[in-house]
Amino acid sequence: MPAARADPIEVRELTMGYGDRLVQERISFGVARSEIFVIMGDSGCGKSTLMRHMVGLNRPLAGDVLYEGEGYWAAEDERREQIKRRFGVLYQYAALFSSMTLEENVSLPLGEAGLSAADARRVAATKLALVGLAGFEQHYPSEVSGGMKKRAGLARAMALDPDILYFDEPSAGLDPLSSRRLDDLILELRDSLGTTIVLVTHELPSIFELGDNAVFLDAERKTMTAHGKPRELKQSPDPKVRAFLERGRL
Amino acid sequence: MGELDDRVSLERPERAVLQVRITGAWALADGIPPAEPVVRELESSSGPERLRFDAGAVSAWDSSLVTYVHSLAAFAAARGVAVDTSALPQGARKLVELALAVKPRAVAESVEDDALTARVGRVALRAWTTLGDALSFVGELAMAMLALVRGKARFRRVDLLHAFETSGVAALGIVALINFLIGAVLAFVGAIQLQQFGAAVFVANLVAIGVARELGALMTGIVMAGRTGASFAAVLGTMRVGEEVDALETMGLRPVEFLVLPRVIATALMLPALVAYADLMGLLGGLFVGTTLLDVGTTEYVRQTQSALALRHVVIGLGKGAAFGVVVAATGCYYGSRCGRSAGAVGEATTKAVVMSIVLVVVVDALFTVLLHVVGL
Repeated sequence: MPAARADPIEVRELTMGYGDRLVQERISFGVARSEIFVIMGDSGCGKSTLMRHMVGLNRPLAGDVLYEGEGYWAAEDERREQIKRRFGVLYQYAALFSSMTLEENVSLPLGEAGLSAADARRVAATKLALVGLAGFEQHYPSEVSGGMKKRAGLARAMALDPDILYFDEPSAGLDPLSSRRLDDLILELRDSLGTTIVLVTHELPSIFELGDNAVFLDAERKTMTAHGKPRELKQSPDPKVRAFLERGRL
Repeated sequence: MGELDDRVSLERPERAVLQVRITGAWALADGIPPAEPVVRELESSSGPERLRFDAGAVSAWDSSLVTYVHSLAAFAAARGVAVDTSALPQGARKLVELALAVKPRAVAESVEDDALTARVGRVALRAWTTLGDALSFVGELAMAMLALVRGKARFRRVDLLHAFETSGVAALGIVALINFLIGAVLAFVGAIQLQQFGAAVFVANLVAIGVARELGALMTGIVMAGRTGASFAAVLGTMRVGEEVDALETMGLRPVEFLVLPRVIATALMLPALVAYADLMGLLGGLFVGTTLLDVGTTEYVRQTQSALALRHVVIGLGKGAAFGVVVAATGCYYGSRCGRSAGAVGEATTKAVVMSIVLVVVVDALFTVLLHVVGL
């Protein structure tokens, strides 16, 4: 049995790449319970790739991702499926199933987890209300705006009360108000449910407002060059990290 | 008042207050208690003015509790009953408040008349609109052709070459296989009948005229509808979903000229070539059956074919091929360019394109037959 007090997530010596192309190497950090953890870096540095490795979509070249002390990639297939149930993912473009209504989108994982159709519908209605989409249950993704799709994607990601929520660029394509609302929602979820949250983003307001801890991935040096609280990283010895957090004003 | 579920019981501490006492451990896997008893109570004539949730004795909770409370609270709020959630666990209370914060948007339900006449009317109106739309597409295509003749059509030459490849060379294998088999089957079926009259050698006539005039073009048209028409619909549909077609329009390029025209030209030019190839394959299929199964000599079969195969039969087949090419490419492009905005819509557009292409190929073939009969060819 893994130790009860192990971090919910620990990335250990992770090296990632596609074929011969190295993306990032020797990434190591831990994410504490109920923490909002930010993965940041400039475009193309491999932020989303790192998230894909953490949620089990891509296999690392070396290293592992540990959930409560248990290696994800070292585990058997069946065990991996169980570990996957602990986290929900909100994709960059929400990845809603276009042939299903919002309610059906949210109900899908609930039904798969064994809830009756009626219960799944009730939970879906509450989850959609939580993200401010009460009344839109029977709409199709094509009938709602980009911000609403994101929120519906969030309702689906948190359908099963996951311990961990992953967000890939939550603010991408959203207006400042919608983006702010989503940030508030992320904080509410963490405070109410104690969810551990991993955020992939390069939006500075979100990084400072939400992030308890962060890592910075450097696209050129192909490894993480900073790890700590976002505000403290403004004084990082690495000029690139400082420039990133100050929007180039140095 | 009594117990509804082992985790929920209703009380009326005061006349105006309905209290829902919630206890125990709540988990999604255990299901959610039904809302009906509380709803009945709220709707009764002695309905309360206040709905209070008391969850002091809840040992564990998750979304099932939030869902239960939220569904009742939303119902109560909609009926003007005050809701008191102060005695819920703090996290659950915040979530319920958050869920209630945005008032459900009243969605106007579209009322569709379900009477038979109304449905027939809707289908007829839709068919009429589609017909008008299809005609305007044909008009746009004609204008694009005119622009091409004037040398003013704007599209990339490389797209045209690519279309030549996909609608021509790439189809050689499947066209060869299908037409060889059709020729062979035709020879076999014809031989069974003709042998009864000792006229087995006339199988060559049957195959030559049947394949060159009719089946070579028809089978190639149908194969191309499934292959090229479907691919055009899928490509254009995906481009529409990805707003690529919109990008062309805002650049001042006409999608019909830029995307549809090269595909129609390529298919209309390549299909006659494919039909000629198909004819050859069909004749070879007939020759194979004639010489191996029917004891007709190769020289005899070939001579018989030469005498039967008048040039007009071949030309008619090639002409049909060109017409089928225009029909298949235009239908595929039409459904692709009218595709909806979702991934599912691309599949739908492709299916419609294939079905309609095949129908139109057969209809055009029938028209050819009638017209050629009238002019005596």
